[in-house]
Amino acid sequence: MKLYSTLFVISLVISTMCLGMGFVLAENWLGLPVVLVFLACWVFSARRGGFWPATCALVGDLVLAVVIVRSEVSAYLPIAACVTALSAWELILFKNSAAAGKMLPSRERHHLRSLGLASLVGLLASFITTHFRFDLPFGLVVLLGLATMAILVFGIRFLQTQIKSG
Amino acid sequence: MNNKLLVVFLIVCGLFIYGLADRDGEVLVLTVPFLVYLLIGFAQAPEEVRLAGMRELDKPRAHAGEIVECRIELRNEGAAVVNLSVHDRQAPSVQVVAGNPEQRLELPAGETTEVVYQFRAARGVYHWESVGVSAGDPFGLFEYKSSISCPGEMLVYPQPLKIRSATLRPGATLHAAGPIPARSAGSGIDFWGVREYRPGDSLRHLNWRLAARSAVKSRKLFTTEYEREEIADYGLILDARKFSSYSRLEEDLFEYSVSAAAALSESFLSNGNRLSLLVFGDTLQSLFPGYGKQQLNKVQSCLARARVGENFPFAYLEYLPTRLFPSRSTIVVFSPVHTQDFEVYARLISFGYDALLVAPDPIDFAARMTPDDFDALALRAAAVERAVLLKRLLQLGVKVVDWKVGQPLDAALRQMAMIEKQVRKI
Repeated sequence: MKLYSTLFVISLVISTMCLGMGFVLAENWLGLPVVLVFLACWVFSARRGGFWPATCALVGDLVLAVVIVRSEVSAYLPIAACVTALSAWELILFKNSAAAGKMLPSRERHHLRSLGLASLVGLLASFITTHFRFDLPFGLVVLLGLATMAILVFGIRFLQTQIKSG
Repeated sequence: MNNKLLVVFLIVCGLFIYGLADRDGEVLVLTVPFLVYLLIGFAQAPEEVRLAGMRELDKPRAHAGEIVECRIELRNEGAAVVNLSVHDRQAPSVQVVAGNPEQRLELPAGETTEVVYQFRAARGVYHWESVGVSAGDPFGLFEYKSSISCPGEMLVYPQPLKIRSATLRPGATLHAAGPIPARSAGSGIDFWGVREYRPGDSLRHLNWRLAARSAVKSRKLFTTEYEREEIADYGLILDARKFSSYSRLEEDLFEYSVSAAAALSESFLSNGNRLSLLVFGDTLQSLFPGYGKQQLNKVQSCLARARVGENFPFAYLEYLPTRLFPSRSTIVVFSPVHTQDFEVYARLISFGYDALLVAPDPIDFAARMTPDDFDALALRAAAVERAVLLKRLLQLGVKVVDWKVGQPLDAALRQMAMIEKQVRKI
């Protein structure tokens, strides 16, 4: 579990630095204290445990990443921040669940391998995707938006049914 | 299904909708790491978990408080499972003392693993039908849950109280050798009397002292007679009506009655006596008279299954089926005693039974457990009412053991025996 704590700290530092640098490049000084607020949220979730504090911190970092993207700054920094924030979220939740019961070393290794793979592939895929440009007709955009909303609504209903039956 | 998957799903949809609405491709790119995360989790989630299970208990019969080991063997008949969680649900009265019935394992294909734990349980019957298993991807997003059939059953007997061989003198005995003095001459060790010598009497039993004294006058010989020792018939009645149970601070007065019944049944049967049992309350459980270890096991099983309840046809003791108890047997009733029961005891005495009432004191029990809940005057009034009822039963001819459960049953029985001895002398 010491390894998990170390990796969590590294992910958190990288995420915070990426967000901080993004706001500095965008000359948005108001964003810096907000980054620190969410850093405090991460530290709180690491100390106290629980699902929702960590999730709030992740969503907060995601919102800040979207703000940086909207500021016409390079997308690489917010992408890196998102990937490391997601890794930190996964690490802290796994560590909290492991603390509740004995965790097998093989399961820890499997988890770290999978997380490493997801982070690396996610980062590379995101960087590659930034080089693609699509001009979508307005109608297609509306259609995709409606389809996404439909998937969202039916998806939530499906998940709720699963939660109730599970 | 869990909150994690819901959160990631909402994030992806939220970013996608915002990206489309704002026509900003770079916001859409932020969904890619989350989609990859979901995809890798989904790819590593097990489709199916095929396990075969077998449960083994080292003691299918145990006494309350005794430690029992449970061994669950699981064999993987499908693909390898890395993140397998096994969860064996326990009844509330089971206390795990070693090991863990919930474990996380890794089980390669074709391999077998064991989950071992030790527990102790309160009196009762315990059934296990299955073991819960779940397997998922490394991120815990997609979970497969199942139950593996793993049946098992255990009977936990009541913990008997320690008593010396019960010092009860029944009114009548059976004509078979045993430990109870039968108030007649025969083979035994206690002196009974002296009579004239008859041809055929054992020369070892000749009373030489009396013979020497009578030699001068009549030259007669005398034989010493010893008191015959026989077995007796005992019937136990355990009152499992609702009012027999009184729970305070995880202790129940009914459990004391059950333990007392277990202790006395063991004592009677180990001395070779014949014993029958009736438990009435929610249901009627009866055992016809029997001897020995087999009967003791049957009695223990009955007592393990005894449950408090109200069954209207048996709400009154006077409807008791007394054919279970042979004539002139000693009936031992375990009951806190109710005013309505007086008629039934009178009926028992009139039928020729010898009645003994072991009455756990609910007033003393309640006062001891939660003294602040009751007014002292109310307790005294209840105690007086109970004392009057017990005295009426004594006058009827019922032997009463007024048992304050805080003291050993042995002491209460000896006290009763002493009182009985003094009464007999008078």
